[in-house]
Amino acid sequence: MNGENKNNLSDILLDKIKKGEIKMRPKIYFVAKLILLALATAIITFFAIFVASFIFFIIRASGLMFLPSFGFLGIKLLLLSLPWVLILGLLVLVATSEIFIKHFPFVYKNPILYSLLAIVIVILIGGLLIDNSGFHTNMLLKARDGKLPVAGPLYQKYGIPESKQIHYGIVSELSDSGFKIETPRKEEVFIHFSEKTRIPKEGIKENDAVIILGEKTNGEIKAYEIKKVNRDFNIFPGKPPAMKYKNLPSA
Amino acid sequence: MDNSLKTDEQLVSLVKDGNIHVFGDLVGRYEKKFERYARKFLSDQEDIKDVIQGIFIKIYVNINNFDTEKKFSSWAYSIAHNELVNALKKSKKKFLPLLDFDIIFPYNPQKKNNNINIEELDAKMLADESLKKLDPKYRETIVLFYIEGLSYKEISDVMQIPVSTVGIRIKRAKEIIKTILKKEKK
Repeated sequence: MNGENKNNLSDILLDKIKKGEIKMRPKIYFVAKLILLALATAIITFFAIFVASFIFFIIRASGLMFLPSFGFLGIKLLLLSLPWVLILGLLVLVATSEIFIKHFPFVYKNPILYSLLAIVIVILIGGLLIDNSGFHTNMLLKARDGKLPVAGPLYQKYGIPESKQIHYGIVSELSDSGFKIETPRKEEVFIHFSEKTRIPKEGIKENDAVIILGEKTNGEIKAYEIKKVNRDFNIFPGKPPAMKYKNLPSA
Repeated sequence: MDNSLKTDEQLVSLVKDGNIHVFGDLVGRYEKKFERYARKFLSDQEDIKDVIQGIFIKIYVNINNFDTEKKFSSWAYSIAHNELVNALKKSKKKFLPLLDFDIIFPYNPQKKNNNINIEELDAKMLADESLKKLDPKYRETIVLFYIEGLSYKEISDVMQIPVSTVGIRIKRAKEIIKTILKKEKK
């Protein structure tokens, strides 16, 4: 570009500025933009934390967390039973959060791995804290009572999640071919076991808290493997001890 | 008023205060630089003119977002970078990818062994023919560092990538150019 063009460009731009065709944005515009960006990032991250806590709630309340203790089959079943739609949604939220946070210089000046790790850690810790606070238990109870208009359908849909392969409850009655358990849904379910069923060496007695790996058909469970768990296992944190296991909301 | 002794940042302050004509001095200072920068990625003269005009319009519109405590050139080049990226997207030419492994993982290029004779390479690598053969992400880093004279930190601000990534891209660009030059000799 020669000197004439240089002057031309300068003149063209100044002319446009004088005519008001190009206007300087006020400082407040950029301040508001920054605040909105920070707010959007915070909202997305909080939503991701909520989704993560709900996934933890489902995994714990449905007993899925016990599956790995059943070995390879348990891990396979766990992978098949995980709430993948929610997990996929969480991954999208993590990616969105990263896209938003990348606009801040303190983030883009460092490798993506650092900010991604920080986001994941914040979401996981936040999710665990909310899950352990009993928040979802309260929400579930409110949804059951119809006192949760917005998020109610979400909790009513999931309720106390029930897995097809993993079941747990308190042993209420023993018999030769099996035993009855009382589930967190206050249901009485009969557990059949055969010679092939792997049961704890010390045996099973009434009031034991047990986790059963097996197929549920016609209200009965054909057990492949049974494991004992701590009676104080906290299914619904934040509730008094009586609520922890026995007085849970019915399905 | 003679503004030739004033810094870029002082000129920006004057523009912000309503001295619109001073913006013309800023245009004068950066027009050739932006043209040289754009020419490394665009070949059509009209496209180059449009991009340069777009860059200065963006600079004026967003000038209140510039902190005069910082360096104006880095900020102006970051706008130029974005305008070039948009222009190349419009022309459907490959430019900078959305996701690049260079910016995912931390690097420390200084710790890596670099056996290239840099002095010998520097003059040759600036030749347009060699640059054109480089992937745009490496080409832009080389152009900003060797031709526009920006520091690693300034390039990091312009391209919004970690400083370590700037180093690794310059190192890789040199290696690629060295390979190109070797092939050409044969």
